Amino acid sequence: MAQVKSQSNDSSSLAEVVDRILDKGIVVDAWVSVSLVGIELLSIRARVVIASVETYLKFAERIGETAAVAAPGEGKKQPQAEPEKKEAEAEAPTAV
Amino acid sequence: MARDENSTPKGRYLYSVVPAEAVDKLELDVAGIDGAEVHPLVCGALAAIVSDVEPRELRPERRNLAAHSAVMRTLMDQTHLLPVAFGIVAGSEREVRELLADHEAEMVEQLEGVKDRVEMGIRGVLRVEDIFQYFVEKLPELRRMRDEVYAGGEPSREEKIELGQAFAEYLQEFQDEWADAAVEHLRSIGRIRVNEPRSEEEALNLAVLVPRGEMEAFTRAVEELAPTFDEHIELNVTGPWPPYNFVDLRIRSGEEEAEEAR
Repeated sequence: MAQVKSQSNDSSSLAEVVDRILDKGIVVDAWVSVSLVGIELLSIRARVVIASVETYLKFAERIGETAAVAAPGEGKKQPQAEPEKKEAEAEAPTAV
Repeated sequence: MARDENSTPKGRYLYSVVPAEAVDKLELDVAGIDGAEVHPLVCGALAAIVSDVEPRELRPERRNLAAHSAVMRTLMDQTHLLPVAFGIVAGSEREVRELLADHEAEMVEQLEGVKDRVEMGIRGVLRVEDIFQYFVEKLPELRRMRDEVYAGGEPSREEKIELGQAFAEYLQEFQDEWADAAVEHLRSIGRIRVNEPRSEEEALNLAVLVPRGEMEAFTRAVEELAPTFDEHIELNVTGPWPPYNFVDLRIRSGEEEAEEAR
């Protein structure tokens, strides 16, 4: 049974707002005046990130770690993987 | 900020399009972007809600998003409306009126579609310590694949990509299933838009266009949906929102429009 939590519009997170007002509703292409420089936007990047080789590698690392949890010691088999993982994380989106 | 059409060249920030007949009763006692006064521009059956703004690239930072949202909330308490996305700035009032005139028929039609309705959001989030552990335990196939790939020490890049991609596909299957189940439960309430989840922790992301008189039925439907879902999924219900997910009007420049016409 899932838990249900209700939030009023006012107390909703910024992410909920961003999810709506950034690319939904009426958009007039020629009049878009938005600067995204330096801003990481979860809602825009998410899909792009999920369908990428970097993400697949990150997923595999994380799945590999579940084996290490199940059998301590096995985790030592994958030390060189670290730099790759960091790279993937750097590209992963963060909230605004 | 005083309004003066003949002073310095200012842009007009667009918040929303409302029926012209709503304008007389509108109380726009709310500050817009940069604290500017918010006012309607009427053209035919429609009115655009705008404020003057210094032409520049606007950043979607908290202050600006909050100003945009505050105007929307003030409006949605008083009329049905078509929300405009953040950061749409026209060069002049004339341009705004031309936009309304050029798209009057479709805007009137879309307004009719959202009349007396509000948007409610439902986001399902998997509340587990480790999402990968969760799926490995849930899916014997994934577990087997993991054990094979990691059996002989550090796997190759190709093996990892294959494993990661398999995980992404399983995840997608679950997300699709969860969305289908939710749609099934909620379809009697009103139109539904299913959005792509934003991360691997997100199970579900959808919006429902609920008739104002059906809010209780909506709440009941969500309560009935909850027991059919995994106990680890938390359903976050938000709203009421302006109907962002149910207004579909992307106005392209002339050439693109011709090219992409369906």
